[in-house]
Amino acid sequence: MVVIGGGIVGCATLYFLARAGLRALMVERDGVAGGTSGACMGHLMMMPGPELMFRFSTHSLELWRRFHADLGGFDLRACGCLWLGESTEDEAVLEDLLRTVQGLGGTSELLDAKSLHKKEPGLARDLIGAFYYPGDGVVFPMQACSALLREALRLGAEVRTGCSAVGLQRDGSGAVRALLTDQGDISTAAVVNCAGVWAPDQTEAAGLGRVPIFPRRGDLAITMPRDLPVSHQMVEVAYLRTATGKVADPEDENPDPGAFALNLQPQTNGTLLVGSSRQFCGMDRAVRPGLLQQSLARAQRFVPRLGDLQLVRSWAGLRPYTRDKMPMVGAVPGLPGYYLNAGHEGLGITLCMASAELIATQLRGQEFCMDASALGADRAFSEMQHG
Amino acid sequence: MAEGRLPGVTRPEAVTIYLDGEALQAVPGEMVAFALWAQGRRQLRRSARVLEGRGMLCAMGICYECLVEYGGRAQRACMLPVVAGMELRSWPQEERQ
Repeated sequence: MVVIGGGIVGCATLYFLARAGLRALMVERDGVAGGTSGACMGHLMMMPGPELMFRFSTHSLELWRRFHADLGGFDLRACGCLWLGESTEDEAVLEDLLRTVQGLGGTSELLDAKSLHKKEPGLARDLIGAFYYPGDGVVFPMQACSALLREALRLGAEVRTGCSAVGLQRDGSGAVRALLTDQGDISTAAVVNCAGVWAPDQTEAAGLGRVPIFPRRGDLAITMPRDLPVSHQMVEVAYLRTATGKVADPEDENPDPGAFALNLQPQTNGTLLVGSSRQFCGMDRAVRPGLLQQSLARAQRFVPRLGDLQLVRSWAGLRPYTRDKMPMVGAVPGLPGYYLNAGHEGLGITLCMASAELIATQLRGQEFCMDASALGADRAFSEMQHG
Repeated sequence: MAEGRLPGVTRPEAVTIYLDGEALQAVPGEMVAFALWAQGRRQLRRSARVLEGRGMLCAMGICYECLVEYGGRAQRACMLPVVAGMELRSWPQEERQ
């Protein structure tokens, strides 16, 4: 088996393949966690819907907890997440979140203004309350990649950095025979494309055309380590709209003005990550002030003392977006042995464990713990055929 | 080559870089500071006035503690990509009072 891509999804996939007793090798064009995984927030976040995404995300969080407890080697802060309500209009959204998540069996609660203030005194006093999900957390993504690789290597997997996949060779029946790289051919019966925003380049090189995964940019800033004014991961309820609502299309001719919502991640090392924006603007990763300034102002509205903190760095990352907001995980129709595990948008860290386990069960011909057929890669190719 | 790096990973073929004339192995494309870090080199220079040890602190181009001389000027080693054959010098060269 060959895994393409050394981001969190590729690292988790390599680990699950090795754990399943499969001979696995990863090729990474640059360095490990050098793309999206090295430019993200590292949040572990339950998705309240649709039901499959709730089950898939919470299962993945459980796999993260187990991996961290068993092997460690990386920071995982089980800080829980607060979904903040700003005005009375948000009340219905908070109640709906509680009903949905509790209906699906998730432990959660609603906090009124008073108990929210008690839990998180650094928040603005005029907020109306919050939906609290204690199962969420934050990991340090580069460390987590390294922990996954260390374990995969111990189990016999191989890792090659500085090695670019450039094409695919098929056998007489049309199935995968070898992955072509800039360092020679690698014979293999299966290839798992975990290349994130670069996954379309890989499907194109494999003769499949460009899979509909698009870079959706996010601007982030990080503060100097110190005593933080907040201790939970926090998003505002509008985050649901910008993260999962349809705000623009990646192939629209008009420039995407972008969207932003509060997203704060207190890190284990005493820094605070402040985001986040979403914008379609190609592969451009240059820092641009506009949306970032709006995100920072928004964050300060929720955490007034944010202005006391010093920003030390800002940067942009590219999330691999899919139109139906779900990753594409599974066998590619018409090309036996070719698998896709990409398109996790802002949830690559959250979902990678479940996503990798799903791929490993498919490659071993086993049953996954839930019906995840709606995540199948076949929908990518029907979207391409029907334009 | 393995010290300070995740063992067992196949990397691009190492190239030679020079620090004060000493030949060192490094991976093309990585930053000079990390190549030196991987070989156990924590102190990269001494401070100009009191001659205290200095090395990579922030690893992201902010603190200017990992300065080395390259191409005739002081550069941040954590932001300087490895190029085969590059000649680096510790900075500053002269001890000042």
